[in-house]
Amino acid sequence: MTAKESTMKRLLILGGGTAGTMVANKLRPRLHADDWSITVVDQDDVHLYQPGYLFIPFGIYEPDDVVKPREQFIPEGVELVIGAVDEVVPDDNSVLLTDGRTLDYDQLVIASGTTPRPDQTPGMDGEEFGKSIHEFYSLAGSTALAHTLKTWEGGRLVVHIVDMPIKCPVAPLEFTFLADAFFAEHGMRDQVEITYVTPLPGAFTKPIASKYLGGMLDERKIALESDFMVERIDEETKTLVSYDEREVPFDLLVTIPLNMGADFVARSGLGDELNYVPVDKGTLLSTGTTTSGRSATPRTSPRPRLARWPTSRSRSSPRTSCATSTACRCWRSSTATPTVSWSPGTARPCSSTSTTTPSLSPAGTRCPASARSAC
Amino acid sequence: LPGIGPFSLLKETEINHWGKLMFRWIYWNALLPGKELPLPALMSMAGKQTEAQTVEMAS
Repeated sequence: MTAKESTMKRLLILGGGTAGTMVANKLRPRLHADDWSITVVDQDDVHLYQPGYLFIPFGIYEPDDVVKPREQFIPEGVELVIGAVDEVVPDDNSVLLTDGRTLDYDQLVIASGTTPRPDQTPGMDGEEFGKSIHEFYSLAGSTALAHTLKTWEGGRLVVHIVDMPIKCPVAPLEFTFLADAFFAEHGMRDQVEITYVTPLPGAFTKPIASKYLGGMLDERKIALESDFMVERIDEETKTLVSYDEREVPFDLLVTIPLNMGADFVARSGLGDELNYVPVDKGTLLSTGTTTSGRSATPRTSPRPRLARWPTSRSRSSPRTSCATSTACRCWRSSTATPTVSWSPGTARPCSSTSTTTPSLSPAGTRCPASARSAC
Repeated sequence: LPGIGPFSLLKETEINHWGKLMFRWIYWNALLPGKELPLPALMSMAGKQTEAQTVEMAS
């Protein structure tokens, strides 16, 4: 290291996706190259145009249409390091990579994004995954779905959202409308029964949009199953099962798995229950660490937050080990109408089959069906 | 967008569909390289409920 390099400040960006690449491109011209080094870390050199995943299942885009080399978009004067992050150590202002390398920083930007996690819903990632159970929030998933749709002969298509937040909350609805058009164009719409299953109380998060979009579902004879918090997927009977014991059968399930942040965020103790870094929404500065290292990450879809339990199976209280003595309670915040939350503590027995009787919040509002076991 | 907008967000229109497909070009050539876009930094609040309104309605 030269004397000049030793006095330079280091900006480290974890993730070379949309946000990380934009941050590098925005800041390189603003931070003098003599004063600041900028490094982007990602695990591969492939940049994916994720909005294009929506079109791949219907043959509007081919997989090649959404792939470009990541390095092509990293500006001159920014180093791209290929490697997987193992852990952030805020006390040391350093990041450990899984291959043993250590990267030090003065300022850290966490832009590692969010990932669909079919492993977080029982029955989702079994034998039927990629056959009768699909997702389109990844390149592999949307490509597999395209293959399935080419030869699918019709039946019950269920489009399903596990939980919020998800990146691009409107994409499931767009997919549903595109599917309606796709089957109509192929002369088989009357052979397909479409159901839209959502944990929200309506078609969308916001009331006005929900009303309009719900009407558009009606016009297309697409059934809406709302307030549906999935407990598991029964692969044998091909049925979605909710915590309040509703069942939705399918022949083809297109689901949006639980979206979660990167596992290294959890390993570093920086994340919430979904591995997202809590930040100040005005500054994007991390609010979860008091060390000298600062981290920030954008959240793609912050509201509404629905009741949930610790979901990562890697954690100390996995869903599969739910104890009947565990209890939880839920409430609706009186200051933020769309926000529903719960915490372990009191009032609600921990049982996956006991959610048919709603709890009451402290303010007396009814707990949604999403109130569920603290597992 | 200046010159060609605004799009009607809650209506089915052909321009909405083409706009969605056109976004790929904007993504690769303007958004990702960090170019300044001719758009206001703050989203329009038209038709949206503010936090203050939400609190007021709840009380």
